[in-house]
Formats: sequence, C-alpha cells, structure tokens
Amino acid sequence: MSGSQPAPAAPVMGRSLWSDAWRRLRRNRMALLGAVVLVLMALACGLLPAIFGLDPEATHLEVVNKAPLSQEGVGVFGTDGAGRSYVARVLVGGGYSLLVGLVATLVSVLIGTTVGAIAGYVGGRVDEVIMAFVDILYAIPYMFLVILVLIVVGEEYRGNPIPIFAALGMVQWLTMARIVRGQVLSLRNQEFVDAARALGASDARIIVRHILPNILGVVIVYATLTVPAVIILESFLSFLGLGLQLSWGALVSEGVKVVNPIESQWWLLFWPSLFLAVTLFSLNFLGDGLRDALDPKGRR
Amino acid sequence: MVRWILGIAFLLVVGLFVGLNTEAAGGATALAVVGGLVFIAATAWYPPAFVRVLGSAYFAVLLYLLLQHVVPGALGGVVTAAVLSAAVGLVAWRYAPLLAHRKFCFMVPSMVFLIYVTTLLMYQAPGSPFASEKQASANVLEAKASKFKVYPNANEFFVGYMHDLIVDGSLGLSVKSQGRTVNQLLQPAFPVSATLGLLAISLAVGIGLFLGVRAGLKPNSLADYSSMALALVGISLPNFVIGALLLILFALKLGWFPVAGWGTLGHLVLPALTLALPYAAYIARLARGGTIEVMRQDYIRTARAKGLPERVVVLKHALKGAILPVVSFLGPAVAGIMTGSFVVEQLFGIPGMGRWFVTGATDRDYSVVLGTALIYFTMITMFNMFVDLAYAWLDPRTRTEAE
Repeated sequence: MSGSQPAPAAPVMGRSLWSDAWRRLRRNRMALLGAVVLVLMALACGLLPAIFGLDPEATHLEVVNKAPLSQEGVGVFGTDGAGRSYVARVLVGGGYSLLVGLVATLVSVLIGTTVGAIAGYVGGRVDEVIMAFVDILYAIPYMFLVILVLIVVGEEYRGNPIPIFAALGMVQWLTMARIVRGQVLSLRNQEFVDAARALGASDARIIVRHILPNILGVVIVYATLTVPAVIILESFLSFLGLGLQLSWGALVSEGVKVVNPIESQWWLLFWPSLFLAVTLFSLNFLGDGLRDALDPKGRR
Repeated sequence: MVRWILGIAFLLVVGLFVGLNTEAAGGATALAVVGGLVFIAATAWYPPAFVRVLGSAYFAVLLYLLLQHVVPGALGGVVTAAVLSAAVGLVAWRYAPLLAHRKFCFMVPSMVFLIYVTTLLMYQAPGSPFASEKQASANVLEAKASKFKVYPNANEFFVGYMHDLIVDGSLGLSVKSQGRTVNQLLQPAFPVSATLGLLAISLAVGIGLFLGVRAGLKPNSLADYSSMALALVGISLPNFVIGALLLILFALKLGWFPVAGWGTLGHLVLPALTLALPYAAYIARLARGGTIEVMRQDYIRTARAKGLPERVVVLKHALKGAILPVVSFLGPAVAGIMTGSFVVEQLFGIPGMGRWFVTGATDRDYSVVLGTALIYFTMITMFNMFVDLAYAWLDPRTRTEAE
C-alpha cells in the first residue's frame, strides 16, 4: 500500500527525520489516499490490459461510435469512430502517460541535482555562470526546446517514446537545479560540513555523505510534483500532434476535436480526462503531503 | 585549479561533440560554440564599472537597431535614432541599477548564441524546407535556395541571417508562405498573442491573489478549503481540457461567447480564462502560504496593537510580504503562459504567433522558427528582468552588495 514511501529505504541516516516524516505523512489522509489511488492506477494501467487481452488498436466495425455501457465487452467505456475499445485505449494510454511521467522525472532529477549541487557547492563565479545559463534556458519557452529536440531526431521517430522522455526530462530539470542549488548553498556553510572538512573529508565525500542525504527530502518532494507537470506537458505535445500516439493526452485531444453541440460523443473526452485528472490530483496530494512531512520548514 | 581543469575539459567535450557532429566546417563550428560559451561565461568576471558600460552600450545598440527603421525620414531618420539611443544609453549608464546591466550583459550575447545553436540544430535535422514539394530539377532547387537564403550549411545561413537582421531589421523570407517575409507574417500575429498573454497574466495574478490571500487570512475555514479545492482543479487539469469544458458550457450550451476566432472582446474571454486558470491556481497556493507566514510576523502584531483597522493591516502591511513568492513565480508563469498559448490558440482558432511557431517547426521553415523564438525569448527575458528588479525593490534583503 505504501510502496512509494521512503521511510524503509533510508538505512544511512539517523532514524528520526524519516520516522518523524512518516508519522506526519500518516496523519495526512489525503496524501495516503493519493498514494493508494496511484498504486491502483499503476496496477490497472500496467496489468489489466495484459490480463484481459485488451488491444487498443483492434477495430470492431460493428460497434462504431457507441456510448458507454451500450455494448458488452469492448464497449464498456464506449467506442470511437473506428470502433476501437475505449477501455483498452484509456488503460494502455495511461500506462504510457505514467511511464513518460516517471522516466522524464528521473532524467530531470539526475541532471537537476547534479547541476544544482555543483553550482551550490562550488559557489562564487561558477555558481553565477551556471545560474546565468539556467536563467537563459528558463527564458526559452520550453515547448520550443522540446519541439526542437523532436525535430532534430527526425520525422521517423515521431511518436516514439524515447526522444519524448529525453526531451521532456531535459526541459524539466531547471526548477530542480534551482531548488537543489538553494539548499546546498545554505547547507554548505553549516557547522557539520565545517566539522567534516576539518576532519579531512574530501569534497566528493562531503557532497555524497553529508549534503546529498540532507537534500534528499526536498528532491523527493519536487520529483513528485514534477511527474504531473511532465504528464501535462506531454499532453500539450500530443495536442499539437507531436507527442505519443497513444496516451491520455493524445486521447483527450482526440476527444476535444470531436466536441460539437449536435452529436456529442462525450465519452471520448470524459474517460481520459477523468483518469488524467484523478492521477494528477493524487500526485499533487501526495506531493503536498510529502512536502509537509519532509520539509516542515518549507510550509507554503 | 581543479575547477579550471574541469571547466576546460567540459568545453573540450562540447567542442569535440559539436565538431564531430556537424557535416561541414566542423572545426570552425566547434570553435564558434566554445567561444560563445566562454564569452557568455566571462561576463561573470567583468568588474562592475565595465558591466555598467557594456550593459548600457548593448542597450543603446539594440535601441538603435530598432529605432533606425521606425523613425521617419522627416524627423532626421538614422541620425535622430542614433542620437536618441545614445542619450538613452547614457541615462541607463548613469541611473539604471547594476542588476539590470548585468542581465543585459548576459542576455545580448546569449540571444546571438541562441540563434546560432538553433540554426545548427535545425540543419542537423534530416529533411529540407523544400522536401515535401513536387520533384524539381536541381536548377530550380538551387534558384529557390538562393532566393530564400537557405544556404547549404548552417554557418553561412547564420551569417546571412544576422546580416539581414542587423542591417535591414528583417527576419528573413518564409519558405512555406511564399512571397511573404517573416516580419509580414508575425506583424499581425504579435499583438494578438501579446494581448492574450497580458490579459491572461493579469487575470492569473488577480484571481490567484484574491483567492490566496482570502484563504491565507483564515486558514482551515470554508473560504480556505473552497479556494484551495478550486486551485487544485486548476493545477490538475491540462488547460485544453479546461478550455474544452468552458467552450462546451459557455459557448455551445449557453451561447454567451463566440466559439472561436478573433476580433471582439467576447473572443478574448474564454481563451484568456483558459490560459490563466492553471497559473491562477498556482499563484493562489503561493499567496496563501505567503499570507499565513506574514500574518505570524511581529510587525503585523505591532500594526494591530497600534489600533490599525484590519483592512489597513492586510492591505498595507501583509500584502507586500504575501506577494513576494508570487512575484518570484511570475517569470516562470509568463514563460508557461506563452507556451500554453500555443495550445490555446489552436483550440480557439486564434491567429497568434503560436501557430506560426508550430507549423514553422514541422515544415522546417528556418526563418519562421528563428523569428518566433527570438521574439518569445526577448519578451520573456525582458519580463524576467522587470520581475527581478521588482523583487529587489519589494524585498531589500535580496539586494546585492553596494555598487
């Protein structure tokens, strides 16, 4: 149930911070509910299509454009204009959306933490230069960078998930870098770091053993809040026809395009929006809960 | 010592990577990229007095490049433009804050660098602007390439582009919309996007501050929960879903606003609201946190103790602290709203710049992509600079060492 909790995986540090955090998190019902919903959502999107043999691309021409529940089997969530089962499309697409969110977030955490830690730890002019570049990148609309990357990898990769993972991760690391840099900057001058340095610890050892464990909480919190941002960004790309072929974002944008007042196929918009919204709600609740639990000073 | 070695190693890797990955003139290209990086990075080592001179010089030159095409001949044309820019530059040198100068010193070279790198990347991409057209003979293609100044390699294109930009103030010819310059394409689109963006950011700040401060003044009240629930909806839905819902409700069912298009005030309402809501939601959360934090401060207790009415305490003393986190979020918010406008413009059929950017990118229309990117970049950087200045003015603690 609490698969995403960091508490058991922290043997290095003293117990107190993490057990305190765990206690605070347990009191936050919405955050726990969010975690449960996320696990269920991941299981549903990951396992159900395989178990029931749902094929998102199979066309059933006898049941084109049927409303939900009007048909057994493939038509539980309704079917689209090509007679494709919407249950299958929403679940499999959800799997891709979650995967994009997760992988791109990992990429962004990796780059952001490294850059931010270097800038904050070295400080001075190095810091100024790195942050100036981060500011410059901030000022380029991130959609521009993503589209540029997707164009550079070429037409034949359109809709291929790997360039999209990379591109989304590469634009999302900026905020992470700023946050990590701020944290490291304030940690760098604290007594325990001075003590470690006085004992003869090398810079690498100080960063890995003393600074990284202290910023881990903040990194986890912002990673949780980056996942929804990435999922939304991917849905923008899908809307513009540059994202994945099948994801919640792609389904929602198909749904948006068939909106009309006369013959509304509301289910094409309703299901993916509902799943997307529930997932993003849960991620935001969990992220907020983790922030309150791990970063009590950073109450917002 | 170690950081110098690391820095040089980094530059070497970048240079090698660029040099080996560009087809023609790899060495020169690598040198240009590394040189550009060093030039931008060196800004951090300039002494403050030099930063002042360079910053105002950049400012004056940019102003001149803009004014030389704007000032009519009857008013002295180029000469007036030069005098005017020099005067403004002098005023900036004397009176503008060092922070602004420093930003300019980073911004101008990075703008040129951005154009260069974008050009390189676009030339890396497979395909050419003429790829999708009917089979044409080699002669025709060559003639076309020279007419549209699509040179065989990125460096030539860059030199030609910068020349046209600086001397003629021209952003080049569009390949796809034949016979039209990028200036002609973007001129009608820019005010549309700017109006939409400005309205959206004002709405986002207005709605966000109102909800956030209201929630923060009475934490855990009904007002708090309702505002934060609304904010969560705004954060958790992509804006085109919100847009589609607004469209269905207010345009299709109720018929209050037109469905799509541009021209009247009614056309503005739904897109601006769609664009603003996610950011209003985020601002509301920031403002709530800021308000809660500020209301605990001693100076608020003092203000109350000396008998000020609650309204004055909130508006005069608390608000300034509450909007600090909001102000620092404005930079990313503006960048996000501009990006979001790509989607919203498409959803509501608005003839803005977003469309040109997206089609330009998919069609390999080099000058259109560069032109839109340049405008977006300039606007966001300028806005960020104002945000930084406003922040320093609001929060004296962040003002850096005396000049």
